[in-house]
Amino acid sequence: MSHRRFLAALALAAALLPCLPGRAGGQGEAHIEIHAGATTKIPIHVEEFLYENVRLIRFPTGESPEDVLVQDLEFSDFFRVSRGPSPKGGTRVPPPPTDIRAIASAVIRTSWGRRVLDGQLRDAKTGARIFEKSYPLGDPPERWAIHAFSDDVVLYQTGVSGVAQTRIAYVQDYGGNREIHLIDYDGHADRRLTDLGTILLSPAWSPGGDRLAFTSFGAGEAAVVGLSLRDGRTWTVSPPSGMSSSPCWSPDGRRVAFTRSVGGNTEIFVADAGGGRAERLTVHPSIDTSPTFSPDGAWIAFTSDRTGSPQIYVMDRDGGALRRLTFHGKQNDSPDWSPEGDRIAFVSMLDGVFDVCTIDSSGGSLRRLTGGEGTHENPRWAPDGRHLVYSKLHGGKRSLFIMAANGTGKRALTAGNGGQYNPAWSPGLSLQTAREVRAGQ
Amino acid sequence: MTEREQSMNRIPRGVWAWTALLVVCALVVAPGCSKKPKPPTDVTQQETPPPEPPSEPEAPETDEPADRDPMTEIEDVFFDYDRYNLREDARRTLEQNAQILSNNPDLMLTLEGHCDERGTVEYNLALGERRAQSVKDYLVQFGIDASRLRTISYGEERPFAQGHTESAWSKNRRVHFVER
Repeated sequence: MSHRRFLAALALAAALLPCLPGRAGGQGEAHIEIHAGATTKIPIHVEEFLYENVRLIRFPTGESPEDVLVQDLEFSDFFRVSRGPSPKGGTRVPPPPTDIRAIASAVIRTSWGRRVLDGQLRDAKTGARIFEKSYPLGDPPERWAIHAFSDDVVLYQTGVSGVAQTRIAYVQDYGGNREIHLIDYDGHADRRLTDLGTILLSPAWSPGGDRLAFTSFGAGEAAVVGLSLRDGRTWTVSPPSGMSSSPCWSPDGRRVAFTRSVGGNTEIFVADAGGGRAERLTVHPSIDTSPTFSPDGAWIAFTSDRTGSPQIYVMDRDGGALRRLTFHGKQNDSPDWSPEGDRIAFVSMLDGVFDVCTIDSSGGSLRRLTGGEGTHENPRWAPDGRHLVYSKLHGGKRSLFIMAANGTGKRALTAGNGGQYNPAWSPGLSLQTAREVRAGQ
Repeated sequence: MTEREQSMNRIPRGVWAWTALLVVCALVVAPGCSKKPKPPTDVTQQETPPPEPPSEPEAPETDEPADRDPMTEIEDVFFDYDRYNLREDARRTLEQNAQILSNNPDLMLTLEGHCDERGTVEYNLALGERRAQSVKDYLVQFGIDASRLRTISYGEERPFAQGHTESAWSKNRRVHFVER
């Protein structure tokens, strides 16, 4: 470590000292604020969809397309949603609440024998059209088309992409073997993706959403394997010898960082996503694992027990400029860098169990997002940076939950039958990519 | 002279005869149990476990069946939470295992590193790897050829005991020996 770097680390440590929770009060380490967000939400109104010579659409769940749109918009966390009949439906309708900013409506019709949803968003005050777009509904009609409409409403109202067109990959325990499942972000369409008959762990999405990397015991010892979601092809990313695990993609999709064992000790390596020679980034005789890239690709956060217990560290992509990020709590692990790059989610051992926390990538502003019963693992950001998915072990069962990035709105993603862990939230998947993934299975 | 030999010399021979008798009785009464590893019963007191009686009766070697499976004598070793250093009880077990490996030069082993369910999947894979490596290093120190010992980590994915209490966890933090 250079003299200057040492001084910088010292200065950082000094700067962080006042942030250490529980210091002044001597009440232990668990005195971390559970953050309750109170952001103002945009009032938006959804009109009942109109049908032009098309039978009423109901999804197998019994939901109407409007039901799905309303759920999507509410989940986005940007809106307060009201709904009512359409003024074009032929009946007299009361006007929507006066503070409404925008009104979403749709007409479902057939075009060349295929059902299409013409979605529209208009300004509630002026009636001016904000956008209008046609979405092929598919046959049978797919929720994904409604998700696409919702994401456009989010985009045109907030300037950022919604997450309705996303999926979560996760590990399902099959009593010995572990396979990868995919589930839509709203808990629908849960399905098994792999049938490799071995232990698969730690799935990670490529930035394009068309490939996964994961840990596989298919060759005996753990290795990092890639899987194309377009054609189902698999390949080995990690070198042939030395246990390899815990992959993460570089933001440009060209490289995969992972953990590899050298003489029984794990270090962080990076290799081309297609496989080949791996470059070693850490050199330390203690556990280094769980790498995660910053969104600009310049930094890697990871877990190391070099001080005797697992803590989060940050280094540059070549293994230099190392600094320790977390100083509170007995153990901190499982980092995931937020899409905006400002926060890092991780788990922290508080009150004897793990809870999900986030911290600034500079080390300040620690927030605890879970508490109460159960232990929490593997928080992973949604591509909007406003939501997290994580696994929770409670009552002997592990299942997946989603919450807003401020810890509010927790809800179960998977059914309560257990054995679900290691979630990974996909990037936004276009309708086209989503359909290709289906074809590749 | 090893620690064990020293302790053996301090104990009167009569005790050994009784111990041998007891061990033989135990083997006759519960033959099915002899293969099971002995998990620690109380992890809070593991730093100073009571000296265990020798597992082999003090009998002439000719009494032993020549084709006895050495794997029945190889015992698993156990670890403290989030640790991969070898406890005293683990070192004793490994010294016995090293003896068995020396007596059976064709025996090739896979050392499986395992963890309890606490901690993340990724960290536990790394921890299990370290545990297996600690065991390998210790056996190599006792003259066992490294090429006979292969390590693999299963992390928390292959628990021996189900359950979510310390009693199950302490059984799952182990290195398990498998013949290959």
